[in-house]
Amino acid sequence: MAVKARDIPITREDVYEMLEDFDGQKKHTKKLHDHLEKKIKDKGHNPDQLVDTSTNDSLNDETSVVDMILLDIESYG
Amino acid sequence: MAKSATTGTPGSGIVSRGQGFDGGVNMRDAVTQLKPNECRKLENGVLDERGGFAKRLGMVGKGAFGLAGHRVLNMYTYYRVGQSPQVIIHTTGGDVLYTNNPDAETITWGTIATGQSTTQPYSFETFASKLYMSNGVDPYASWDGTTYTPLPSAPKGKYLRLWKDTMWVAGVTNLPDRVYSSEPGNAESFLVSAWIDIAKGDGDQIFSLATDGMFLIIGKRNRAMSMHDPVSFANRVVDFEKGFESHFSVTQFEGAIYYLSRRGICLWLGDTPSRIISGKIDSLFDPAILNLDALKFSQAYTYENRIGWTFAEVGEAAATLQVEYYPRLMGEGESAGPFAFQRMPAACFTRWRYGTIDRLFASHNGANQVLQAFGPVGTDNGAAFSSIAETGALDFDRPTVYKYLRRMRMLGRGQFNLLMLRNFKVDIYKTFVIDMASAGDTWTPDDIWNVDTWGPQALLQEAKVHPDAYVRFLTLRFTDSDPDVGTKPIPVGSRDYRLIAGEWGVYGYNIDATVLGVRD
Repeated sequence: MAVKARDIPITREDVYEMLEDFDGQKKHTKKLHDHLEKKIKDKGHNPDQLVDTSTNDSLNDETSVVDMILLDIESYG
Repeated sequence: MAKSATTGTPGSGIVSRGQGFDGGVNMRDAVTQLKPNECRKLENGVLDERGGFAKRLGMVGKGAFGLAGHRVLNMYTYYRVGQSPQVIIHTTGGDVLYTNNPDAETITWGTIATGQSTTQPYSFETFASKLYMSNGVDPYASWDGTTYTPLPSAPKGKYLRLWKDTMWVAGVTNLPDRVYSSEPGNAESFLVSAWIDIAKGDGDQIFSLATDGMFLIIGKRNRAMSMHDPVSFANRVVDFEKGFESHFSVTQFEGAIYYLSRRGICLWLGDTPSRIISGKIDSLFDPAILNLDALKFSQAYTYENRIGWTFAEVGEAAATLQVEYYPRLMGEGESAGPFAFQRMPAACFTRWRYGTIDRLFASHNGANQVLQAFGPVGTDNGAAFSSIAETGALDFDRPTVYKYLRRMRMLGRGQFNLLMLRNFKVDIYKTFVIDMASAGDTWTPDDIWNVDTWGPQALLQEAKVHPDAYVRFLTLRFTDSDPDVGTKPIPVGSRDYRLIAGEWGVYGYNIDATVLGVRD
């Protein structure tokens, strides 16, 4: 069941830490996807947890956490 | 259908009573179509009493900051409970500076950060007793009055807005539609999925975040949306054809939100498209007059009974013109109040209130200085300036015949020049110096009774002029550039207060004329 966008307990700071030992380029989505999936699991969260994105113009009604991060990866610099 | 008018019987008298200036400036309508209370030109004055026009006060320099070439990109007042509010400036030198006392004769600036963007102004918000700043270039950061803390994991957006106990961020590079939410109650933590794209890929970008308290307003350049649920991010389009030009142009005044769009000044109506209220100054919003690219840095300020917006004119990078709006002077049946112009050497503004002091501070548009706006002086940082109020072409309801102007009476204060122009010509037909300056008590033991001025005069006085003028259409221009200040009487019950005001003011005029005849 999808949860609200602000109910996912992973912060952007967590993602910066997850990206620290990622040696690929952020554009290599599959590799990054796998990396983030593993890191999210390591932190005790479910990377496939669905987020309610029904109000988001560009997304389906539900989107997984790891996809939410990947779709926003450009904002991490 | 044309309005009927009479020619009048030759020799018949006309008494015309001026109807004040509270219609503001009207540069949209033909000069013969202006209402009796509208002006073709209004500049460097204030409509501080309905119907009156007074020269504005000047600007007081408060010393320099940084290097000579530095200018202020944005300024903000950071209010702190129990302590003096700090004025914060972000400069083109890349410095973010603060002062605890902008009211000092010479401001002492402290440094918050250096090496920041030299072109993109910071957006500021105060939340949970801290100041937050972001400009889309440098890391989002906080300042608690003594310590600057960069928060590099936060989204790096150009615009911040506090709404529903949450910090909202937009304007991240290459993500022009995206709005981020912080965690509720914590502006320093952002969750990975707390973002939404608004009208993604519409070719537009977010230029402003605003709020009326109930909704978060997301302004793109060509449309505006509002978010009504901070949890689900539910949103909808409110205005599909008017957008926001500048994040810094949004302001609230007595429960209403005003902002700048490409089409002019707008009043936000909440659930229906905004209303443009600046119809009378429509012709200002022309690329041959304004630097359209600089509209994104236009700022709004509120002071006393008015709201102001800054504009860079064509060929100028920084603001050179201020447009002021008087919502409280809206007449019955009118959809908007009057507008007037100011030409202050000012680009950015912030209000500062502490203890008994309430000031408007501004940044100089051509120097590394902060100024007190509308301070108790008659010059702008030492430079004289002119005020002007010019009526439309008055025909006394007899447009086809000449009139002889026999007598004119004015109510006002101070000293100024009255210029008369006639029949749409640009050259000055008649000039009169109107002296309604109040003399002090100049009586001394050496003076002779009934000869010298004795005792103070009233501040408001009547002046009489004999124009001896022949006109079909008459334009009155009130103007001067005197560097002095005057005083304005404010009656509070039985006690009259005398406030420092611009050097002169006109509160009414009457004209006695006689109909002549056709004279071509």
